[in-house]
Amino acid sequence: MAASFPVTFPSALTTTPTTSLSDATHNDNLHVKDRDEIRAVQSKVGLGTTSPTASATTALVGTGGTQSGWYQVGPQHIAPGTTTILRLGGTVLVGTVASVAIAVPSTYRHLNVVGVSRVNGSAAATVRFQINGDTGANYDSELISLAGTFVSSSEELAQTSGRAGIANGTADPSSYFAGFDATFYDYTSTTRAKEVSARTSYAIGTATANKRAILSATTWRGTAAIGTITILPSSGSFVPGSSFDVYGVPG
Amino acid sequence: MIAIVDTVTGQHETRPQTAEEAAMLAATQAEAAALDATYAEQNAAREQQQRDRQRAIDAFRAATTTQGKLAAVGDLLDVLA
Repeated sequence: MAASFPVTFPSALTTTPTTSLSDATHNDNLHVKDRDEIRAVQSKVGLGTTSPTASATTALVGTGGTQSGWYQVGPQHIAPGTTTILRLGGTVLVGTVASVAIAVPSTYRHLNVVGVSRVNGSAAATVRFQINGDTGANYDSELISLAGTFVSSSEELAQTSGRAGIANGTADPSSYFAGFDATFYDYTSTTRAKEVSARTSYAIGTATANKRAILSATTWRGTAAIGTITILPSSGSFVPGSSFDVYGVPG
Repeated sequence: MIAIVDTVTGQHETRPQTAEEAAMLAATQAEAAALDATYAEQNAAREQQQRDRQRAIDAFRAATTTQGKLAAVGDLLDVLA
């Protein structure tokens, strides 16, 4: 029997109200119809009789309630490998460093900068960033901080650096290196201000309220594509063992 | 010292800061440190306010007389003001 793509519900079966479900004719009829319609759908979406092909992710969309015209959307999938987030480079400090300048390529959609750090000052320091060496008052940040049951927020407008995270100080346990992950969205745009969101995890001990979580957002008012990101602490210098890595997120 | 990581060329370098770079960094850090200090001060004030508020609420709940309840409400209003 030829397999035709179903555009309506199955036609009435050649059965009667008194036909038994165990009737051989009834079952054969059902099976044949089901098989043919399944094959037709498989053919339409590109499935073979063996293993699915890449086009199996292609979607079918009907043009109306009658489903009389079908068209394919896609393929929506992206071939394996092209969506991998790549580590573009980074550094693990072996000496005390005041700042880390990272030059980035323009071939990705977004960037992630991940830092794990301490500073040589007693108190924890904020980890800041500057874009393309811009030291002007072009950074606007907002943050929310959680410690124990306390929640606080703050606004920093027209500053000369943005907010990325926190670095532990020497007064904190020596094994504690605060971590942050900052995403630079659409960093190659030449017409838009740049948005950066960052997540920070750090602790200054094990007592209540010693564990901190911070979410921050920064807008850099500049519209130039980002070519360099400079990471620096608000006080002191980064100590050996601190690390900074940059990852590219393909579009 | 300043670390330079060029992910385009793959070159890494650590070198002393120039005088200009050091001055820029000092200026940025001065501003950032001031922000940290302001934030810490504001945060401490907020935390104290939250503690005071909770203490007033606890006092209201613990009060067993009308006079005690009214006094606790007065304290709570002071905290919230």
